[in-house]
Amino acid sequence: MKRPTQTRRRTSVRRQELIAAAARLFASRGYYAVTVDDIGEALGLSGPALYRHFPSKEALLVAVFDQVIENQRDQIRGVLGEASDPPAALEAMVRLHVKFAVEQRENMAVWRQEFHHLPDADSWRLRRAQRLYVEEWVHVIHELRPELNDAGVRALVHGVLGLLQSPSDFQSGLADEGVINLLMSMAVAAVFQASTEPLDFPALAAKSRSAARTA
Amino acid sequence: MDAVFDRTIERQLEEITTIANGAADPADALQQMVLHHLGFALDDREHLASWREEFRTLPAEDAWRLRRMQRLYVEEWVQVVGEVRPDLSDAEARAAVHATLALLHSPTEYKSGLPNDALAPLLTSMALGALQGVDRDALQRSVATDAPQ
Repeated sequence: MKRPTQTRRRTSVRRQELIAAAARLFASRGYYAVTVDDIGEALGLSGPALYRHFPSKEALLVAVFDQVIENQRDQIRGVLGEASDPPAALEAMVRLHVKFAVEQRENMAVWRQEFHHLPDADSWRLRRAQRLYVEEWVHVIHELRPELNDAGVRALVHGVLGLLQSPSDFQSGLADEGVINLLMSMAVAAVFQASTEPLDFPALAAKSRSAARTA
Repeated sequence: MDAVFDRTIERQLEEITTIANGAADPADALQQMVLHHLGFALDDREHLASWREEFRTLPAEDAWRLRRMQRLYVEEWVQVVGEVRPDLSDAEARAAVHATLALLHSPTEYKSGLPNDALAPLLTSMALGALQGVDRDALQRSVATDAPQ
């Protein structure tokens, strides 16, 4: 008889292999085009053998999301631990996020599409993990831009994350390294240029002058 | 298919064309385009999110027409960004435009609670700063040295 710990270890290794295979296939072919059988085949497993570990393709997707966000949080803690000051922390975070966004562009699109359809318990757990990740950003931005209030810092962070995730919506055809450079430089500039002071644009001044005339 | 969707994109396209035709110079056009797009993202916050879903399920003919209008809209941006940043290739300008639009859309996914009279300048300054800051050699230089001293 097998010792239970050994069986569990083997099960967990198999689970990890399945998650990795699913992540690769989802990323390369797209979640919707991949079947459970494809994932099984990648590891030489039959459908029923796979279902012992994951009841559905959606369950595998959730496992992939869990792992992705877990990795991201580990990595961000790692880079923040090594950063010497807030500007260095920002650079490291931006680099981490943009690499992730470029490498995972397929999965990001799936995430956005499928997130609202996930079972409550899963979406709750993933949202919490996402919140904690965002908090790391908020913390660094507060240090860098102490004059902004909390809501301002948060709006800034979400704007930067949106910018960095743009490769999931648009494939420019640029090489990954080019996209990474471009988006990193944009994100860092956006962080330092952000201001909630009223805008001083000629077009706005002209508009308010004409509004005053008609009033 | 939602006629409001159709009309909104059509109106967006007309308005951006008016801006592009009437602007004093590319920098002025860019400022106006950022404000215009942001106005749309803030006013239609609720709609934008549901449209994104709906867009995928449109009949092919509608999707084709709407995508064409969207393309023309983005082209106005690419043209202006190309004028403001002539050092960028077309593909770089295009990627920068999509990144800027994604930044300006962020209020549709996240409600910060920041009032619009602070949120609008915040996102506008970020968008313009980001476009000015595009640097294809960022990895060679440390971007952290851009931080104000």
